[in-house]
Amino acid sequence: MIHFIAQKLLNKKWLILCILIGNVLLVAIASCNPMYTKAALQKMLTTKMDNYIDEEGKYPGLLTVDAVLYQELLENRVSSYFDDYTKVEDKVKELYGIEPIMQVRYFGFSQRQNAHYVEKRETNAANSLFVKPASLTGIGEHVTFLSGDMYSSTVNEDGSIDVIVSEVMYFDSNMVVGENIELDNLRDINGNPITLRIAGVFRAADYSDIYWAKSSLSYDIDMFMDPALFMERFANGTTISGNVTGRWYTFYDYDKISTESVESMLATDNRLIYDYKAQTKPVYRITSNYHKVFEDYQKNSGRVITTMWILQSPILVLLAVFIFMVSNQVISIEQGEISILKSRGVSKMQLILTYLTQSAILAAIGLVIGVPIGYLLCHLFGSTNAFLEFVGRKAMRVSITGTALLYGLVVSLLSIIIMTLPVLKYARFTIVEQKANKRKKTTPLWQRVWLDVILLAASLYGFYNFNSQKELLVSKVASGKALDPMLFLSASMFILSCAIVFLRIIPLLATVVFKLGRKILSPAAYASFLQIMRDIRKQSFITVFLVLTIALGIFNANIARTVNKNEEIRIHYSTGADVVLSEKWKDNSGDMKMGYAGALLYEEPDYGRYEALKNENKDKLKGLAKVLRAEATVNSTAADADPVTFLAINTYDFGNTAWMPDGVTPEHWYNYLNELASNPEGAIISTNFAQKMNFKVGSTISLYRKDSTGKSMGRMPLTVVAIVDAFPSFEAKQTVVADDGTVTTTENYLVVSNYANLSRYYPVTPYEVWMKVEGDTDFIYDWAVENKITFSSFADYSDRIVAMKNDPYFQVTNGMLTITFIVVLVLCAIGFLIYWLTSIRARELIFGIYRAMGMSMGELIRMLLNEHFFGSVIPILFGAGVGILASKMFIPLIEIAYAPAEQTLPTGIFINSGDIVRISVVVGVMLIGCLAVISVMLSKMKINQALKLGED
Amino acid sequence: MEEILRTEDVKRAFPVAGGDFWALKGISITVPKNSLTILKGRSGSGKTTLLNIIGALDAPTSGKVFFDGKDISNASDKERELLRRREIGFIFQSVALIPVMSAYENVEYALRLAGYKGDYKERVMDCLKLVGLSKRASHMPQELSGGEQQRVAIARAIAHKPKIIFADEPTGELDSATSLSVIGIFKDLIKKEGITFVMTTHDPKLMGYGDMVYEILDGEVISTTDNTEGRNE
Repeated sequence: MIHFIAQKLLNKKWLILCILIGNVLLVAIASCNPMYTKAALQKMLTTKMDNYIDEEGKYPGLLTVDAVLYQELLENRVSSYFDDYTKVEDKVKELYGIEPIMQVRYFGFSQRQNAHYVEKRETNAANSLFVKPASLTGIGEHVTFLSGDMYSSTVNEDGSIDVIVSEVMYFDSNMVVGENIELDNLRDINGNPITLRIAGVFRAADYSDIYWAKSSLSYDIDMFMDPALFMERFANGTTISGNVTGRWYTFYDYDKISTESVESMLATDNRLIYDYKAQTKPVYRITSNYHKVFEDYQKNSGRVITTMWILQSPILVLLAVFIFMVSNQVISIEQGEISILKSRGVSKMQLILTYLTQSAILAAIGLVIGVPIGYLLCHLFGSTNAFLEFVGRKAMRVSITGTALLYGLVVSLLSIIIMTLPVLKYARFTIVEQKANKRKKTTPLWQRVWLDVILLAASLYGFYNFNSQKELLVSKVASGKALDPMLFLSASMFILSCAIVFLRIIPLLATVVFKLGRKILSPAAYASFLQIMRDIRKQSFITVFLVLTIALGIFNANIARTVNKNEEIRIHYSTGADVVLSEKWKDNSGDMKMGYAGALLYEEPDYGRYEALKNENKDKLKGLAKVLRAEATVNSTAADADPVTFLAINTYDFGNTAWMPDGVTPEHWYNYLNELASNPEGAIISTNFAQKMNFKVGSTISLYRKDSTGKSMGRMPLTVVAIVDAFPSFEAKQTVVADDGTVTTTENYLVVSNYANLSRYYPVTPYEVWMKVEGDTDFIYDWAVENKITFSSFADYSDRIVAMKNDPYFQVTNGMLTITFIVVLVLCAIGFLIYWLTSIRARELIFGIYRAMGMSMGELIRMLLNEHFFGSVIPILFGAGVGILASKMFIPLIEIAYAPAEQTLPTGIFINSGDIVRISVVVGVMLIGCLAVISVMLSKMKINQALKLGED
Repeated sequence: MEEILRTEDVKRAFPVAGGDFWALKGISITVPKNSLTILKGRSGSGKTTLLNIIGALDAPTSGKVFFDGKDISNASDKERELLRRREIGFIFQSVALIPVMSAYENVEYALRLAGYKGDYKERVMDCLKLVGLSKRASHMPQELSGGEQQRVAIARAIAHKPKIIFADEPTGELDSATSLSVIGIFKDLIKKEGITFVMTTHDPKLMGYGDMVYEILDGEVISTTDNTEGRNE
C-alpha cells in the first residue's frame, strides 16, 4: 500500500507540496506558541526583576527568613528548636528546590547590650557604649579593612574575643583598634563575663554587592565575631545567653529563576509562612523581594498567553481551511480513481484507510519539519520591533519543549482528519453512481439554510453587544484580564461570513453584466461569463479563501498599526515632550531641620546652561521650555480639597517644545496658549475640573500652593481663559487596580498659568525642563556627564518607546500579527496558483475544443483574464473592503486590550497605506506570475494533443 | 469529380527519444466535394495525425495540403484559426461540448466565433432540428445521453455552414444503432447542406457508407476504395 501511496503522491507533487507547506506552517505556528510564550514570559520575568533593581535598589532574588530564638523558650524544648535553628539553610534549600547562589546567616543578640571600654576614657560620657555581639557568615570575603584586620576564629590568650566593626560604628564612637570592650550584663553560656577586642574596622568592599542585603552602613552597633565562636560562646544546644535574632538570607540567581518555578516559589513562600505560624514560638517570618514581582508577573502572564492564543487562532483556522481546500482538490482529481477502485470491490473502509495513511505520512513530515521551523519563528518573533519590522535584539531563551511537541502533535492529528475528510464524500460512490451524480447540481446546504447570512447576523450582533458594553470591557482589561476571546471570534466570524455571503453576490454580478452585454460581448468574454456563472461552486473555495486571506491580512495589519501607533502617541503625550527632565536643586531644608523657622528656599541652577546647550546643538535641540509642575488646590486650603496639577509655562517656548496630537481639542492647542499669553493672570483649566467646580471661561479662581514641607505658600488669583480636554502630559483619568483586582478610576484636574506671572506670588521652586529633540538624545546625557549635572528625573520619550517595544505583550502582538500577515500572503499566493493550475489542467480538453473551433490563443487568454477578474480580482478588492470595514468596526474595541484605562486622547484607527501597497504588490506579482505560468502552459499545450485526450 | 481537399506526399515526424518517429510517411489522398470520406485504420495508424493536418490543426513536416485549391501546408497560425472558424467544423470522439453551455448555447457559440451574419436563433434551431434535438435545446450537456451529446456536437459543427467537417471517431463511444443514425445524419447533411465530411473510424461496419475510403497502416495508405462512380450520376 505504501508503494501505491508513494506513487500517488509523486503524481501530484505540486499539490502535495502545497499540502506539506500547509502542514509545516500549521505545526510551526502551533508549536511556537508554547515555545515563544515561555521565552517571552521568561524575558518578562527577568525584565521585571531588572526593573525591581532599578526602582527599589534591592536584589530581587532574595529570600529572607527571620526568627528570634527566645531564651525562656529553650528551657523546655531546647534541642528541637535549636535543631530547627541550625538547619534553616538546608530547610530552605529543600523546600524551594532551587540551588541558591549564596546563603548568608546573621546571628546577633536581639537587644542591644551595655558595654564599656576597658581603658578608661577621660569623660564618663564616652566611656560606655551600646553593642550587639553578632556574626555574619562569609563577612571576610566582602569587606576591606580601613584599619586593623580580620578577627581570629579562636579566643585570644587574655580571654577576649576578636570582633570587627563597621566604619559607621567606628566613626560614631571613639574606639581604637586593638582595645578591649567589656560587656556590662551579658554573660556567656558558662556565666563568664565577656570581653571583646576590636580587631578591625571594615567597609563593604563593594556597596552594590548583593551580599549586603542589609547595607553594611546599617550595622551601627554590631560587633561581628567568628560565627562558630558566636555559637560556642553564646548559643549552643543547651542554653543561650540572651534572645538571639537569626536572619537567613538566601540569594537566588534571579536571571535563572524559570517561569515554572514562579508558582512553586510563591506557594512555598505562603506555605512556609503558614507552617511556621502554626507554631507558637519561635516565629519565622519569611519575606522575599521577588514575591511582589512574581505576583505582578502572574497577573500579566495570563494576559500574554491569552493574547497569543487569540491572535493565533485565526491563522490556525485559515491554515486548516487551506489544507482542507488543497486536499479536497487532490481528492476531487482522484475521484475517478476512487470510484473505479470502489467498483472493483475495494471497501469504503479500505479506501479511507489508504487516505488516512497518506495523510498520516504527510502530517508526520509536517511535524518533523514544522517544529524546528516553529523554533525559528520564535526567534523571529523576538526580533519584531513593530509590525513588519525586525531588529537585532538580545536573543531570547527559546527551547523546544515537550509542550511544543505536544501542540505540534495535536494539530498534526487534526490535520490528518482534515486531509482525510474530503474522501468521505467520494468514497461512497462507485463509478456508475458518480457519473449519475455528476448530472445533479444542487445548491450547497449552507446556502439553502442561509447559514452565511445567519453567521453574518450573529457577528453583527456580537459587535453591537460589545460596543454597548465598552465600559465593562475596559474595567475587565484594566484588572489584568485578557480581552474576551468572543470579541475576536466576532471579528473573525464577521470576515468569514462576509466572504461566504460574497459567494452569492459574485454569480449575480456576473449574470447582470452578462445579461446586459449578451449581444455585444466578444466570444471570449461570453464564454468566460458562462464559466463564472455556472461553475461558481468549483471556484467558491478559492473565492472565499481569497476574500478571507486579504481581509484578515488587512485587519491584522491594521490592528498592529493601530495598537502601536496609539501607544506611541499616548507615551509621547503623557511625557509631554521628547525629553522632560528636572535637575536636583539645592535648598535650605537642612537649616529647617535644625530649627530654622523661615520659608523653604531653593537655589535655582543656572538655566543659561540649557540655553547654551540649545545654541550649541541647534540642529538637534529644537525647543526648550521651563515648566513648573506642582500640586495645588483651588478656592480652598482644606485638607480634603481636590488636588490639582498646576503647570506654569512660558507659552511661546512651551508651544515650540511640548507635543500633543492634532485634532484632540476642538481648536488647535496653540490657540489656547495664545489666549493664555494675552492674559498674564489667565489660566487654562481641564474640562473635568470646570464641570466639577462649575467654572466657565471668565471665572476667577484662587490657587493655593504648599511647599514640600506642607507649609502654605500663599494664594494666586487667576482668571479662566480656556477650558480644554487635553493638554500635553495631562491625563484626565487615572485607573488604579487594587491588589484584590478592583478597579477604581480617579479624576485628575489641571490648572495652567503663565510662568512669568508666578514670581509675583511665589519664590522660585524646582521646575522641569522640557525639550524638543530631533534624532537621538545621547548628546544630552553626554552634556550632563560633562557638566556634572545630576537629574532627579529624566523622561525620554524615545526610551519609553523602546521599553514599550520590548514589552512581551506588545512583542507577542507584533510578532503574531506579522507572522500572520506573512503566512496570509504566502497562502494566498499558493492557493491562487494551485487553483489556477488545477483548473486549467482540468479544462485542457475544453481549451482544445475552443482552439479547434478557431479561437485564437489571444482570445483564450482574454477569456481566462476575464475569469481571473471575477474569480480573483473582485474577491481581492472585496476582501480589502471587508478588511477595512472590519478594522473600523472592531479595532476600537480591540484597542481596549492595549489601552485599558479611560483615555484622555481619543484612539484613532491607523490604516497604513504601506501595508495595503504591500498586499497589492504581492497580489499583483501573484496575478502576473499566474498569468505567465498560465500562458506558458497554454502555449505548450498543443491543440492537437489536447484533442487526443478525447481519444483514450 | 470536383475535389475540395488534396494532399501530396504529406509526412509528419514527432521527435521521440533517439530520433524522429514518422507518423505519416508520405500520404497523398483526395477528398471529393459533397461526399463522406472515411479514413480507416487501427489506433496508432496515423489517421488522427492526418486528420489534424488536413483539418488545419497541425502542419505537415513536408508535403502539401490543398484546401479549396489553396495550399495551406505553410499557412500561419492566424490563417489556420480563420480557416477553422469559417470553413471547417470539428466533431470529436468523446464528449466535446462546452460543459457550462446548454445545447443551444453550444451551437450558438460556433456562430459567434465564426461571426455568422444571420439570425442566430433561427440558425441554431435549424441545426438542432437537423440532428433531431430541437426539443432539448435548453439542456446542459451533462443532462444529455452520449448519442445526444454527439448530435449536438454535429449541430455545432455545421452551424456556421463550413465547407468541410472533420470527425475523429465520431461513433467511437456510441452503440451501433446510434452510430448508424449519426452516419445517417451525415449523409442527410451532405445532401441538404452541401457539406463534405471526413471521418476516421476503425469500425468495419461503417465502411460501406463512405464515398471514398482510405485505409491507413503505419503512416501509409494501403488501400483506396472509390464508391463515388456510378453513385454520383
